[in-house]
Amino acid sequence: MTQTLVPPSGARSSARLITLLRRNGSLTAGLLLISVFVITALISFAFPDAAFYEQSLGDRLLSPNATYWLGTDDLGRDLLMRTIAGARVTLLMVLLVALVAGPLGLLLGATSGYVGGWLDKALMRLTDIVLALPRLVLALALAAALGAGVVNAALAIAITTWPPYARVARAEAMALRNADFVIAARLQGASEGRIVLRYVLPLCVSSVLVRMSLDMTGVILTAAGLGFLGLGAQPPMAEWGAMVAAGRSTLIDHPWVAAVPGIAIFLASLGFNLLGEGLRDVLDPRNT
Amino acid sequence: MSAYLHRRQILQRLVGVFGTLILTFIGLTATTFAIGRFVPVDPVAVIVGDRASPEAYQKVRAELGLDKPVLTQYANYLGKLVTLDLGQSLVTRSPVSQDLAKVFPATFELASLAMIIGVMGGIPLGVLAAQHKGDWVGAVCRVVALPGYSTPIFWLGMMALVVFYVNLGWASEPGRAGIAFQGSVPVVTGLLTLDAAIARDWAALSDALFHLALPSIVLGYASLAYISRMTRSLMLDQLGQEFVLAARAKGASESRVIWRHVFPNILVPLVTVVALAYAQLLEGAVLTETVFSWPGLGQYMTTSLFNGDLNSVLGATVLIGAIFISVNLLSDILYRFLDPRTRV
Repeated sequence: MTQTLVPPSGARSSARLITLLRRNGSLTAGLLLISVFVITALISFAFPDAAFYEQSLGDRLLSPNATYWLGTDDLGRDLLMRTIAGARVTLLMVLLVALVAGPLGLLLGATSGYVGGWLDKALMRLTDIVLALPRLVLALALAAALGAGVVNAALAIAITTWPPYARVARAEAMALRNADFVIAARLQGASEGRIVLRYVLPLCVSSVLVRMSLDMTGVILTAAGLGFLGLGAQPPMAEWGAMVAAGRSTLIDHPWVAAVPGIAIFLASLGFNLLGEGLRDVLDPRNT
Repeated sequence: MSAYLHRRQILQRLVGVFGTLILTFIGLTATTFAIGRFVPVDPVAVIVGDRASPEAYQKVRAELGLDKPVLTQYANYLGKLVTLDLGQSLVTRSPVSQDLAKVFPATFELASLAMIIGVMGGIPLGVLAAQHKGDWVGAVCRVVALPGYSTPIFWLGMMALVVFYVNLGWASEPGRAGIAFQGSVPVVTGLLTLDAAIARDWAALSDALFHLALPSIVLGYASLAYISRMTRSLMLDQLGQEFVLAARAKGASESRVIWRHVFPNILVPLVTVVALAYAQLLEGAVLTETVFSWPGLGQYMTTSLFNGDLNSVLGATVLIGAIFISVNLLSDILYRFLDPRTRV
């Protein structure tokens, strides 16, 4: 029996992955930034909550130094700790929005695209209407009515974020409507619902994911905006937007209190931006 | 096609556009109505207190119209909206519509100037970035635009204030007019620059422009970043097509190819982009006006928010939503006008 040297399939696909990453600067940079973001958020669980709220009034408004790497805010709290805690809240909001808006848009869009007819027209009208509404302003009004809080803010954002995903999923589903395997499944007696859920839906997921990662930039910025206005995480919980708002009062003499959380928001949002652009370059060859 | 059929088609299209407009407006008002109506705080209890008798409670409830079916309440709400009755502000005690009329011109002035900056800067930047896709010029263009769409606008405003006002002293202090000029210009249009020009008060005009500078540049920069990014992507889509190759092969100069052959093709989607940018600008204004103490719609909304004045918040929401819808409608009409293919 001859022995051929065949590299295990694991090595082959990881080599492909590395080439993919090397060719797409945006994708790699984006993934890197997001990993840093997620890891920071996860690190926050290693500290007790008190570490984020500890005030040291004798040390208020110190610029970055050896003990406090990013300085302290007006209550003497360590800005590095607060920024790490803020990552946790932001990640939570991102996940909430993704988990609500993503499946909602995917389901509505795929069903609408597959079924067609009046259902399609009605759902697309609904999408148009929701798209014509001001996202931040509605989220503001909703959060104002429901009360501040991370979950309320995330829900408010999610309610206006699903239309693009529905559009994307619909486009995919329409293309799949007359695919051979769908016809085959139908001939085998599969119900329409089963076809949508088990055949069409999974194939729309990748486009929706690309769209979602591009959108997440906007979600992070909107969430920060809501936090800036005091809707969202409540004190003493740390949230980047709220930290920027708190830094306003000491802006002139101690600008880093507001600058640091802003840079954090920038980096997180940039990460998703680059990821989305990289994914689009990889998955949509037309654009290269 | 016969004239009759042509007219019928135009009529059908008008009905379609009008129908969508009505539906969208219903969507907006239904949402604001729902938000206002289904607030967790009981508005009746707020008025009568905890220990009111059931009769008093019912009486106030009937007065507020809360005992009628929801659809009737919504119809009443719509009726009031049509007469521009948006309720009364809890804080200023004057009608919300009156408040809005006072603050809106300030935001309009700011947003218009920012939009001009965004369009005049963003489109050429995007075209440049598309032309120089591989090399350092393109990279610089992208890097310049990057902070514009990745940073929160309110933070950009704050940092711009620190750098350009506090440290460099180039920009004015926050606010719409200097202390010396407050209220010195008679209000005609509400737009300070226009009113100063009408009154021929050139000192006030230059003061107003000086105060407009930083906020409109910050908001304009954010618009510019978004517009340039979309323009670049649209141009790149077009530049890969064969007609570009044909034009170049015929010996057309590069600028002729770009501006007379490629650019007109992206005008249609660009109109949508500009409309979206304007919408984003309004939302940016809501967040950034507080930073610059700009007495506009945004500051009104955020102040009402802090004071729990739901009537004002919802009134401002309806106004901003209506502006959104109008801008979309305008862009719809404009691109039918710009693209001959959509007219046939």
